[in-house]
Amino acid sequence: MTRHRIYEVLLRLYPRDFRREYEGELRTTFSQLCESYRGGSGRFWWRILSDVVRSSSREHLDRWTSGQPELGIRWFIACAGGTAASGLVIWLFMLAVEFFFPTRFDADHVARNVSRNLPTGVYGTIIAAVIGAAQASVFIRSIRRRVVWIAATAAGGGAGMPIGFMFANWIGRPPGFPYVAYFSGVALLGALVGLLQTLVVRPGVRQALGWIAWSSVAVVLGIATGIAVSSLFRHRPSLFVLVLVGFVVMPGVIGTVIGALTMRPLTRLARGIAVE
Amino acid sequence: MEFSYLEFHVLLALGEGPRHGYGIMQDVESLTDGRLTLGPGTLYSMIKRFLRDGLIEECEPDTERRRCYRLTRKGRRLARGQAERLHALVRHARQRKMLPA
Repeated sequence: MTRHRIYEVLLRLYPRDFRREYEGELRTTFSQLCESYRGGSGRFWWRILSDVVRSSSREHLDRWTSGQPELGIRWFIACAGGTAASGLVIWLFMLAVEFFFPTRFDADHVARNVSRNLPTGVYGTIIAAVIGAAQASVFIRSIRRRVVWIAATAAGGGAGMPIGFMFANWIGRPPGFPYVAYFSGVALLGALVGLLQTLVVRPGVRQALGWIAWSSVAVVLGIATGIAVSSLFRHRPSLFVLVLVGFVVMPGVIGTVIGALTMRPLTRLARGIAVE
Repeated sequence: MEFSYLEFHVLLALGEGPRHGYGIMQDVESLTDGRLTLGPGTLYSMIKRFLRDGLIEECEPDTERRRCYRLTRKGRRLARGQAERLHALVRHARQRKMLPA
């Protein structure tokens, strides 16, 4: 296999539209480089391979983020970090509630635990507010709009969690499909958060529908992945591992998946509106 | 707008006049005494972004029908801005005796 044949194969790593535009130039430049190169073959291929890997990844990221890779990466980090932070905030919140309202035992030995029995909407609001704050900090400049975004996300989480649970219970009434029921509720939660977020940034109808759909899918896949990852640690974990997995690792995984899946629609959303 | 080390060298290479892709690669190598080498993929990825941002534009192909590029007014202005910032930095380094006067 000649150098040119190998390079032709490597060129397939680039996105199609980049290839369509620059394939001829890339080949010509490669030929000229081959003719003029005065060094070892190993060094030559190291240079070419590292160039192809680096630039093709950049081009894919560029395409995936509608030409705004920095915004896409910032958003991804905000989602992953914000969701992991929301787990920690929930843990601290539960500790604080436990401190002020310690668990009591009734005369009939039934434990009354306030922190674990607060309405789900309270937890939904806190989690979504922390994630919303991280998201707003990377793509909205105006402080007022940031606050509105955080409030909308918190409202989506606060209302979406109990509504999602109610919906899941309703779907799961004929028993037998608990996962379908649960994830239908989760999908509704994601869609509700997405819907309220679009009301803040007011994109076009198509972008708004895309954002709501991707929010819903991302939350479902994020939570499914989070559950799958945390199940790896279920065999006799220590308290430390239990807390770490439950309040940091699992939320972090959920946020990573959400960030990765919403990166593309977010950059489209940001392109169509004046928030950046 | 802040350019990376590599991006700035590509703009510098185009500062001399229109160049085709391979010409830019050669120029960057000679500007840096071979310390900085560009691959074709990195170069055209950068060219694509520079074209999109209006920093360079395509001009008449050369005699061998290779696509050539030149700096736009905006590209030259931004490259000059970065050169001035670097120049100020070197001046400060001299004042602090990090470089010989």
